[in-house]
Amino acid sequence: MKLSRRKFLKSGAAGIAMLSLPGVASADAGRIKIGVIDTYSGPATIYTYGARDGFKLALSQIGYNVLGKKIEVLYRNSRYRPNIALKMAKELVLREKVDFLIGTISSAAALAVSAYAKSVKIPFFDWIAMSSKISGADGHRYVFQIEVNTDMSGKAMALAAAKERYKRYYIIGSDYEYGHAIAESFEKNLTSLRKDVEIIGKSWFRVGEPDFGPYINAILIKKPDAVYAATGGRDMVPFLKYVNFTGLYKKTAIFDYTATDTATTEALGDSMPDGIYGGAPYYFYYPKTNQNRMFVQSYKEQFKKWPVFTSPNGYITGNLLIKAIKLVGAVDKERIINAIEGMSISSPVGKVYVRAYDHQLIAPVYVGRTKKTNKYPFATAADIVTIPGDELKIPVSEVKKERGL
Amino acid sequence: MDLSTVVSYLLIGISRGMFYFVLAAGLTLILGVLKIINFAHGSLYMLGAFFMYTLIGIMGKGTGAFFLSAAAAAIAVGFISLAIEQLFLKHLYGKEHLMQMLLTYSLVLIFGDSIEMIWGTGYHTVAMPKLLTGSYSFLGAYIAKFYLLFLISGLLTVILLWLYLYKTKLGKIARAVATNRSMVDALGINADATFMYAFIIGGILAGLGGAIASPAVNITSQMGDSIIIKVFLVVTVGGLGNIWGSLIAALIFGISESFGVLIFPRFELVVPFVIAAIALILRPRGILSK
Repeated sequence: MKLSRRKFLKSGAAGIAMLSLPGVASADAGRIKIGVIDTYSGPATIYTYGARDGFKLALSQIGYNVLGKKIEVLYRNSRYRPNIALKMAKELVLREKVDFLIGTISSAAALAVSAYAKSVKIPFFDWIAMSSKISGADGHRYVFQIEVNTDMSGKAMALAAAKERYKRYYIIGSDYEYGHAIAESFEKNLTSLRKDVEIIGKSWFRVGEPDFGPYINAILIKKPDAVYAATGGRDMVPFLKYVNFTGLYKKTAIFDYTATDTATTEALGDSMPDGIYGGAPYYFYYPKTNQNRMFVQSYKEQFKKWPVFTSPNGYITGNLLIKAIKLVGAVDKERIINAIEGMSISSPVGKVYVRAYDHQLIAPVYVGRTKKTNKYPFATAADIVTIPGDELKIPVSEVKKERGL
Repeated sequence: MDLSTVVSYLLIGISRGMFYFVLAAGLTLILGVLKIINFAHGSLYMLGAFFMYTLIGIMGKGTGAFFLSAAAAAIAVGFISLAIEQLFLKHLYGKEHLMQMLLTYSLVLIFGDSIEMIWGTGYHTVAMPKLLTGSYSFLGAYIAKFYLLFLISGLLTVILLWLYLYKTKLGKIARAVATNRSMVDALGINADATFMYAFIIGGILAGLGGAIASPAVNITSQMGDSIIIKVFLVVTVGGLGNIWGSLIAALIFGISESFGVLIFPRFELVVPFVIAAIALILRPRGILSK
């Protein structure tokens, strides 16, 4: 069919008019619609598929049905871009009329969707992005952070570091929101726990840096006792390759939050250096509880792969939502938000809860050191220490201060 | 800052510059001879790394297997370039630049998605051969052995390109085409074969770049995106189509980035862009322009 200019303009105008209809109509009575926005192409998928599959598992366990209503989930690929994520959030809310929004791995995208969710009063669940701004400075009634944030993970690493004898630290990281946020939390917590610790140098590389050599040299010349590496998703694996083949890990201790995560160790295989300190909100092999064993078993049956650290987040998000809808007995967003505030739920990592004030998930962090064994073809975490969520959460008074209240 | 530190950073900078040159040389050769901006250069670089990953899987992890695989990966990318040139590009010579840009850009999308379909979306790793792991240390400074790989590949590229451009008939015609196409046509020389060889050589260099970078970088379907911007910058500063200009620009970038990390760690990121800006203000047509 040949599209004339007149027709094109007409249909375009109609489309724009449709998108800009005022107000947000509620979904039809028979269905509950959920919009999921995340990066579903490229390397980030090792994490985003995990959250998505955990969520699918939770929904399939109730047959995608609650209060006699069918649950319909619409997935959108935002390709790691905040502007695309925002556009998709608008499309899902205005055209598809979703009741809830879920996403994303990118902190910048999560913050953009969160601000939009606030303006249209649609609850938004952040399930991977870790920036503490999401539930902290930029938090509000309509956003939930169902992931241990950088304030908490940085503190977990600081608690582990404080127990060691190291005094002279060097900080290196990816130059973006996550890198700075976790490094700041680590430094703040460690220097307040240990007055004798000194930060002797810092450097930041751009995200996607192709050559870490000069940075590693700078560390070697300064001869620190330990390094905190605040490497984000894309830089994690290549940074550890350099740590391995330059032999840096033999000369200094290295702390790097997601180093022990299965997604990282699996990608590195034999090139994963031993003895790197890392942490994660979850390992498929830890905690060694029945609850986790059952989760891993059903996850593996359904998706034919191991759950990664984001999988429980998807599972928890799904179950929180289902529990709240059942409790309220209707798809009433305001009452559902009230129900989730302070709600606790059992999960693969034990009982976790959503703090009422800032909607932050309070869950434990596991800290261990990488070790290659014969059990798996990749390194796992050894000597794991569990740090309970209540020891990691920052006081509500501090959140209020961040929000300028 | 003592002498040993300066020397180690200089060596890192030169190696890094040589790596940029391997990629920039192919891009600028194609630009000079074919007058095409090959957006797919980053995709060919990526293919080199993925071929390397597969070949190492077959040939094993020894040092010999590593170098054989690298050579084979580069040649395989050369064949892909041949196919691109014969099937698509050939029909677009003399057409608008926009058409050629659209073609090479569509190749970026096609290669990106094909790689995800064949190798998946995750991270892949090529182990560093034993010979190249560890660091040399001298007088308290260090240099990773791995950099030898960049240094040697860069030097080889310089020598082979020089032989091609100055000692072979094809190379001489390529230089003539780059300077004055209509004169070459008027002399009755068929420039089509020159185009084909220049495009293949460019592709082989991109593939080689991917193969030698593979043990140190993320092997993913997006690995071409970040490096290609830097390489475009090198080519622009060096003068579009000017190979030796690219060599100088690549070394300036490599060395300044390396010292940037040492001297201004907070501002290292802007160093190459500041250099590019200054170079373009002083010599808008490239470093070696007349």
